[in-house]
Amino acid sequence: MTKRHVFTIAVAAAMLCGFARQLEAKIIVSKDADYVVPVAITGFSGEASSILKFDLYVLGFNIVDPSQAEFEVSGSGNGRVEGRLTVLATKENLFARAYNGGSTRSQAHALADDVVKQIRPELPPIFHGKVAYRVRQGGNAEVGVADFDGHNATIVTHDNSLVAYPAWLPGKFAVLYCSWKNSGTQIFEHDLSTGSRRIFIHSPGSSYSPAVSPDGKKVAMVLDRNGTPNLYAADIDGGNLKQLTFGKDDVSGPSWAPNNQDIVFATRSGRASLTKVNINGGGPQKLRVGGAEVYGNLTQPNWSPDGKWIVFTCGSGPFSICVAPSSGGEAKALVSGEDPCWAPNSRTVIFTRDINHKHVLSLLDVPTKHVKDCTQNSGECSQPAWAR
Amino acid sequence: MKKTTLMLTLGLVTLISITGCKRKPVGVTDIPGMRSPSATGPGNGLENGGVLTSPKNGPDTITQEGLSQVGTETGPYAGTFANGEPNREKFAADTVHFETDSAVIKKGDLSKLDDVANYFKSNQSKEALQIEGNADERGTEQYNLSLGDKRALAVREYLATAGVDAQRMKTVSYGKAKPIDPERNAAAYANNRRVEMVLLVPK
Repeated sequence: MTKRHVFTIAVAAAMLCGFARQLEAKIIVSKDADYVVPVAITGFSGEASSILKFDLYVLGFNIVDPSQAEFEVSGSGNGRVEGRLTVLATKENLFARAYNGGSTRSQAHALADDVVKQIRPELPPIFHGKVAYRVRQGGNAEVGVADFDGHNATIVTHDNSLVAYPAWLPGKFAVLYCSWKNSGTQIFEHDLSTGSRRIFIHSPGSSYSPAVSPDGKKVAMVLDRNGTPNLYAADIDGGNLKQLTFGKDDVSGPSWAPNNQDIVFATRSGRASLTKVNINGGGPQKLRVGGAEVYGNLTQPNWSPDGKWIVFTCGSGPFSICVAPSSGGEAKALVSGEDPCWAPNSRTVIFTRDINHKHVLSLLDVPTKHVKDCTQNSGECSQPAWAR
Repeated sequence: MKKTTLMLTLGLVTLISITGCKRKPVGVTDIPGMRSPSATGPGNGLENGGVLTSPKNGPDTITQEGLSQVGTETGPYAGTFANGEPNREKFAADTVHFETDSAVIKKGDLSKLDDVANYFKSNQSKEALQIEGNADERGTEQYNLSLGDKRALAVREYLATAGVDAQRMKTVSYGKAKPIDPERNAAAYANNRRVEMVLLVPK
């Protein structure tokens, strides 16, 4: 038997196995988005147990006793993580799997992703996501990178200055951010694999608040080269700079739509409000959002990856996280906090929460309003950006 | 061919019986590769690599929006901006303050700015000015960065109109990152809504 034959057999077996498992898992349960799914987690201990509870709560599940649960995740996390998902009413197994490689932490996150995939199959997995954020230490701030839940944190800049507003390059292990290192405010592009970086754009005056388009081809940012902060877009190599707003009102916090054409940002004339602009022209258009729960300045908009929603901050301290349809309309206040940023599933939001005047990163499940604080690292963390 | 098919079938049966498809942990899911980010450090930051666009060094014009920023990396004061010694005391008494959410210079503060302008107009040295905009904590960080920027630019524009060479001034906004008064009351907020002017003295 040649190697090729062995390979063919292995592939065929894997396919058959996969097919069998699909048949077995024919009951794919998709609940309404705001339905809180009661789930029991049994057999796990220590790290694996706490990760499963954390992850599933963040995705809108409630962790309950098996007698009250609809589903049970049973298994063990000793040595390697093994898990089984069961519908308790019928005792039907939806899957049973063991995980190889990586750490217990990573395996437990993979099991949690598989549980979510079974019960909410429309959601892409998020539990191996990375987040970049600003961390304040004394009078300085640097950029850090961590797992979405705050673990495995690393500080990636050492400018002994202010560093802020990290933004990921989609599909790459690289970020843009602002540094005050050279006394003014400049945007840097930082390759996290090598640690090398360069100034992204040389513009007279200050440049800040970079946002990369979802296709990775364009960067929106604020430049004040004309004597007032205005919104600009450039190609990812820094060329082809185009001014998008021409007003005297200051602009801040741009975020791209998934069509790579529209940008939402905050602008202020009187109170700050949300505005959209298309990079191909047409001029800025106010995004009309309203509702009894929305007050004060509307800033820091962030467009969901599926294009349907815009999450933003309202108020004048304390602040609230609000969400509105991306076409405008009724906005709802969700929780206290600021700096919201969508996860790739367009359901989870990472944001900054104020606990006794200290900033911590926190996770919000928008439909159920479940909130979980990320593991706290030293320094005050804010301005989270989820890698997409 | 027959032999191959037979072996394939046998192989399948064997594999399935070994691994099993049901009721036991079977699917083995590999974990996505985890990478550790690399930090910058001395020597590995390509700080000046990749000059992507040229600084605009055109004439200083008053545009419709206001005074254009000029590149401070070139020009007669470039050395001062790059290596100058900051003197924060010189214009400490000339700090100007703003109303909430406003970048409009108050009339009462104009005489302070006139004093600063006169200092530079009668001074032919290579001294330069850093104008630092700040906001109180009641706006979000991105919003306040823009607001602090606008305040610094408003001061810069007034000084330029009063006769200070635009190339001699550089603005920076710290948003709410550098409050001068950490308290949380109206007086502290008023103190923090400010533009400070820092004299840069060439070495």
